[in-house]
Amino acid sequence: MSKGNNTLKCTVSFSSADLLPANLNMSKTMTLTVPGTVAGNEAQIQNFTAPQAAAGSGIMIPPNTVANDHAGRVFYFVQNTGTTYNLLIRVVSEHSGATPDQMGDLAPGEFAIYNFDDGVMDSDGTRDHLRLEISCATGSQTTTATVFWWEMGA
Amino acid sequence: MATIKVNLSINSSDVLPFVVAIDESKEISTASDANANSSSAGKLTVSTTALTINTEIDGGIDNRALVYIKNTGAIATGAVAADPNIIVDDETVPIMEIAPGEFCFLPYNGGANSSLTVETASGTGYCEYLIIELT
Repeated sequence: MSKGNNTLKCTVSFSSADLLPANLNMSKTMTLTVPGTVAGNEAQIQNFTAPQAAAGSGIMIPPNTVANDHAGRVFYFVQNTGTTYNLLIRVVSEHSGATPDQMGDLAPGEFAIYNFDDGVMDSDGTRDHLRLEISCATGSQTTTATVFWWEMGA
Repeated sequence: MATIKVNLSINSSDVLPFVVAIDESKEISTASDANANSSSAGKLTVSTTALTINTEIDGGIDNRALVYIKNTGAIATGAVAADPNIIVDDETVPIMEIAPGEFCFLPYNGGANSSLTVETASGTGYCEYLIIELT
């Protein structure tokens, strides 16, 4: 039996007086229906302390508490809650030892929202192995992070 | 050098066992060098052929850059099908898939990679974007 759909609203706003020839003042909102289906039935918010690590050796965060159970799209909100070092963001959707792809680094206080999809990421036909990887960008150091993910179904 | 203020809020009363109310702001400045020389916003019609965004000035996105991409295609209504999802590639590596009405926002730093492309799996899609090179 399905648990029923949930709703999540997300707004991003940008403003700047000196970036473009005209003032930048933009606000966009998306209201998401998080499906109550098998592939949309999990969500979690977590705090981490992330040490520096090579690609593939950082903290792996799957978007499901059941190993390899995810199928489809998932949103990740990530914030570097540290004060000194950047947080590296990598992602992988292979279960065959592929090196995670670097997507970004968040300076202290910065945040991001990603719409990852293991369906389009997976190049060898073995989907359902999506992992977000976080690590500190500076050797021998750590930073802290908040990660909030929710499944969106296939 | 320019300064951009970014705010992101996330609210839900039923995704987690408690009410989620995240509201974060950050002021971010661009560097005063040639690698922070390209900021642009626009709307695109997207096909199955990968289209590099932000090619106007220096051929790609220097690391790091703020990136916002929204799928502005139609959402399904009744018997009318939705426009296709927008697939975002880190150069040639497909990473994200954005459904109509959804957006992503990220400080992009692809390491050895330095550009993002958008495409659809089939059909014609639509998106808008904002790219701000930081360093």
